[in-house]
Amino acid sequence: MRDERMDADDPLRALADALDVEPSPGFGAQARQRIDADRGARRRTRRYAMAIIVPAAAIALVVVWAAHRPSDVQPRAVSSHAEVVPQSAPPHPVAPTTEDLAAERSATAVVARTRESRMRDEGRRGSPRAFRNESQAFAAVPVVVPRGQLEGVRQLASAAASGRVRIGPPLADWAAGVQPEATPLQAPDPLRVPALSVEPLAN
Amino acid sequence: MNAIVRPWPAGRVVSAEDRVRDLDDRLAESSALAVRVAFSVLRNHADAEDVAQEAFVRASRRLGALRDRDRFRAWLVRLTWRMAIDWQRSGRRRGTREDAVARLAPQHGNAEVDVAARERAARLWQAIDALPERLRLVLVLAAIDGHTTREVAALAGVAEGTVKSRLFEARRRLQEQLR
Repeated sequence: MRDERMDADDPLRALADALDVEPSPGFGAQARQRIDADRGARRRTRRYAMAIIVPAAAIALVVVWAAHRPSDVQPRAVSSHAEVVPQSAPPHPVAPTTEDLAAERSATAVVARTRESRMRDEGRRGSPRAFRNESQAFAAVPVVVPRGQLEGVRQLASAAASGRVRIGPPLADWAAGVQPEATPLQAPDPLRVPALSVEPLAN
Repeated sequence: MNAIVRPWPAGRVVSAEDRVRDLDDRLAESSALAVRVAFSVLRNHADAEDVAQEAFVRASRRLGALRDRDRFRAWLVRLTWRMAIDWQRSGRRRGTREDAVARLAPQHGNAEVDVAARERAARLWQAIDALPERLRLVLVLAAIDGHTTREVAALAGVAEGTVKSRLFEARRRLQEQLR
């Protein structure tokens, strides 16, 4: 019961009486309604955010990819022996054909694989990625192109000779000795290529 | 009472129905506490209910992290207290604070007695408002539902000894002001 003599002696009891309030009967239902409404609103906000963020991220990805696509990347030496073709060299007016690019990819892959397998044969340890990162180690390992892959190298040399792709001096020197039109290609087995660098021409 | 809400067992898959039931349990269990805490600041029943409901809305967002009943109640009390103070400062009060004075000074029909009672009630609230927040929260929690010092300590998130000293200090200041 509320204390009629509410005074300085008993403030806590008076406060307890004053705070003895009960929620109104509809309090729980109203609270539930507000909670449900809040959940709905948050769900909608999430959906809208996704509708904006996902396309924006996709656009950003495309922009970044376009800015760093392979044709814009500076030519990279496959080994420390290779020399990069100077940028000042005038671009050839003829664009590389699909076959040229395929040949270039094929020859590059052959070189990388054979280096790694050669290093493994010599007892070097590490993953292929680690081998690729060891530029100094690459420099010491001669590149071996197996007979079965010669066609790709021949096509690359042919493309280089016609000016559709440019290749670095070591392979260029080697390719210069090859008659691209000669069939079949006469080459020792295994064919030893000291180093290779390839620069695809910009479209 | 304590058994109404228990933590979900680890690894249990909680269905939407479980969540709804759990929220309803907590609403039933802690509504009065939240409304009273808000009322102690706002002194208006409608405003207090508004703030308490808003506190439940926020609490519902963190229901998963506040599975423990005592932690939930403590968190709800502090959130409601904070929100009520913000509400009061923001000037969003809809009604006057007369509710609280009227609760302490009911009408008896004798005008002179009624006026004196209302004055005393107004003085008490004034004295409570003049207390620092840390003392006021402890005092209010101790006044609600006859909470023990241990319960107040758990709700306010302070040590039991701190509650005792704050209660002592709050009472002393109130008595001084109401003398």
